[in-house]
Amino acid sequence: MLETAFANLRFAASMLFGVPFHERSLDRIVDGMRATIEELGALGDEANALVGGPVLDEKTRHDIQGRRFRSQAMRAARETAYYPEVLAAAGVDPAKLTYKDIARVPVTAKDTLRDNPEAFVRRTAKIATRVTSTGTTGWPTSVYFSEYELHVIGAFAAFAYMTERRLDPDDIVQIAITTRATLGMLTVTRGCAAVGMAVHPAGMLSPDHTLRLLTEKHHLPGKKPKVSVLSSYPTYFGQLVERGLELGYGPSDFGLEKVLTGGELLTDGLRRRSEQLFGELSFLQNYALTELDPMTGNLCLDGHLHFEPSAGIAEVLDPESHQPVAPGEPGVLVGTVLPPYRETTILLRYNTEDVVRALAGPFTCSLRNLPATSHVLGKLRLSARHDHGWTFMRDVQEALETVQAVPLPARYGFWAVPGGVAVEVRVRSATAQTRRALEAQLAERGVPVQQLRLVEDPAELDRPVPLRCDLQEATFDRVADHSPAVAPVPATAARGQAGTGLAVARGT
Amino acid sequence: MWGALLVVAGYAALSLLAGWAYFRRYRVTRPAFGVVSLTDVAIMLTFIVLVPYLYLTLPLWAVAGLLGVGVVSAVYLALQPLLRGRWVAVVLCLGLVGVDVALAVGQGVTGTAFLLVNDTILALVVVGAANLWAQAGMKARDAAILGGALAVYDALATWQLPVMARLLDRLLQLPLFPLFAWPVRRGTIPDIGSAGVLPQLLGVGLGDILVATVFALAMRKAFGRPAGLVAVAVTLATVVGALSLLSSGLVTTAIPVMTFLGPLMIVQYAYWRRARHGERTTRQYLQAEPQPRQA
Repeated sequence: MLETAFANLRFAASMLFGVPFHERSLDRIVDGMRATIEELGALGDEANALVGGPVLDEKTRHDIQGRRFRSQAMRAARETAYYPEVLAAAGVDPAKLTYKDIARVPVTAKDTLRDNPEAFVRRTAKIATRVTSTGTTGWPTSVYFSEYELHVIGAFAAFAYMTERRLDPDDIVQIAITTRATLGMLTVTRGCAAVGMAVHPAGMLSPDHTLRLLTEKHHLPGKKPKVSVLSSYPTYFGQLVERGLELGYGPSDFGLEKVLTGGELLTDGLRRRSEQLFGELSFLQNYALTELDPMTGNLCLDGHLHFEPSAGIAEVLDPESHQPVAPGEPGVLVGTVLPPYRETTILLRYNTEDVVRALAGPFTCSLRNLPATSHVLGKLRLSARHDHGWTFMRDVQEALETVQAVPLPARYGFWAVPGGVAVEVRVRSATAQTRRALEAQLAERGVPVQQLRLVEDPAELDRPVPLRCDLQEATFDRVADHSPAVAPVPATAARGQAGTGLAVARGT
Repeated sequence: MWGALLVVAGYAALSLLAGWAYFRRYRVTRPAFGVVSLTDVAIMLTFIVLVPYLYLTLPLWAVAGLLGVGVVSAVYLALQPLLRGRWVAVVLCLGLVGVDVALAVGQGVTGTAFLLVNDTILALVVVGAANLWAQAGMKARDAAILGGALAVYDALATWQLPVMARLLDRLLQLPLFPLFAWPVRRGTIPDIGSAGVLPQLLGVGLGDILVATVFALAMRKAFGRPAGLVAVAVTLATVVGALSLLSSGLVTTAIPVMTFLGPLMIVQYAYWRRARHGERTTRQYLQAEPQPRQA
């Protein structure tokens, strides 16, 4: 307890003054939290405030963020190849920056980082790892991290898992994201390990393989008998739902209770349709981006995306003018990770190209003390600006995945045409009934559809939105022939329900 | 003389039993995370060894200040869950300490009114501090190790080194001194130190009762009510035995109580651990025996 208290003091000093975290203190806090949960069953009420930073009024928050931004800008001007010229051209003296002046710092474009990631690396940085984004909207973006930063990211993941207590030590977690998603893997494994869960970083394998793993029975002491938590991208989860129902699996085949998801849009339609396969699930969503890690957004129950102000500054700006948008208006999310969280790749006002809506406070949700935006609406590059305004991925995808005739995940494309948008979508069967159902859903969500094209083969899509489920990894096994511990036929199918079970599995 | 024994033993019993009742009924304000571990026991032992030298080195006003801060913190910790409103606890806590100081100044530290207040304050200190440690998840194993280590230290410090006698000599000049004590007729009690007031008092150290109470609570949590009650009974028997030896004049030197209690703690722990096949966590204890009322 005394050790943890000392560690806490050092941690508080870093939070307060922006000095680097003491890594051993971070580990001690993680150990102390875990020991507390093991011994007492739960952390005290103030745990969240202790590791999440104090509740700040707006003026204090601006003062602190202004100071941290200034020190980050000074480092950028002094030690990176990119910023000295850019700041000088904008007439910005980093040493004199205040919170109000942040708007004068030019926004850093995604393409600029993508083209020359090393121009953003500090000369004195101790580079340890290169991490790339998944490259949904083009060539993957590279970000360099030090051991210190990876340690901090892991520790904060552990803090979040333990303070939120939404997962339990007896859970078995399967991670089904691409194993190249270094930070995603790190945060989930570190977070789960801290809570004491058993983690299987399985990767994103064929849906058949993953479904087998999810139905596998375990006999681990103190753990649930089946995988109870799945960490996955929404589109891959959709693929599991589609394939699982096709194979005749049902809720009794699984022990899944929770799904940790992020990186893509999770729609209400997918959530509802997943109940057919897995039964009722709870979904834990957050917003994380390689370029801004560990500045992450947490989704509250009211659907706001909240950002911890000590970790970074989140702004919602007009995509073209880069001026703040009015509450309720869409804009791009622009973020700056502040010290002591980021020390290697310095990004000032980085344009994520993710679209959100600015929100007017005050909020009444559980995270009301933290600044917030709306949930992500989609990628700017994949959004369509037309005569009536904007149509975002969320508008279209929410509509499409509600319709049963659209296989999960929805494979679609959309673009601006005179008077609205053209939408193309893969359906099971291109019938008039399906068309009517889709038109109704799209209209309900305010999508001004001018052209709707239905295809039965996804290869026929002209401009498909890229899906992370397509980053699947190969394995040597032929699912139906191996894994002797697992029954090859889903129990639900074996009881005579719909599904082709073994025959279909062998055919893959 | 035997009256003094009754009062001192009575306060030791009161501290143990009040600590026990409090443990079942109230929750002290503990840190949001962090449990008492073996490292904490090592840190405590280091403090226990070093603090006497600190007290012997510092000016008297500084020693009084340190004692005051420690006592006020522990008493506040104990009172806060019992009273509505933090300020009530603060006022009561400071009031008690104020009365203690006033009586010490006005009446001297051997006056019965002062000793009554001082012993009551010490009982509250035991309740607060013991519950903080026990409710912060201290394991019975760690409490037994603490007792075992103190057994060695107490023997050395009391019998082999002059430090304990000099410490008592110094602390007994101050209010809030850490000894459950009651006056006896001058000359009837063996001189267990060189302090001017000590021959007039029969007493048992605050630290002894505090460690014994922590151990009893940790045993209660780890192995159940019988193990806790046995720990209470063993402590009281040891304390009464030591006080009787002093009161009867059979022993004429100070008795290091922990030297006798420490090994008994280790024996108890070993027995119950074997009998119960391991100790319970606080979570398991509260699941098996929910608190009658959450305060």
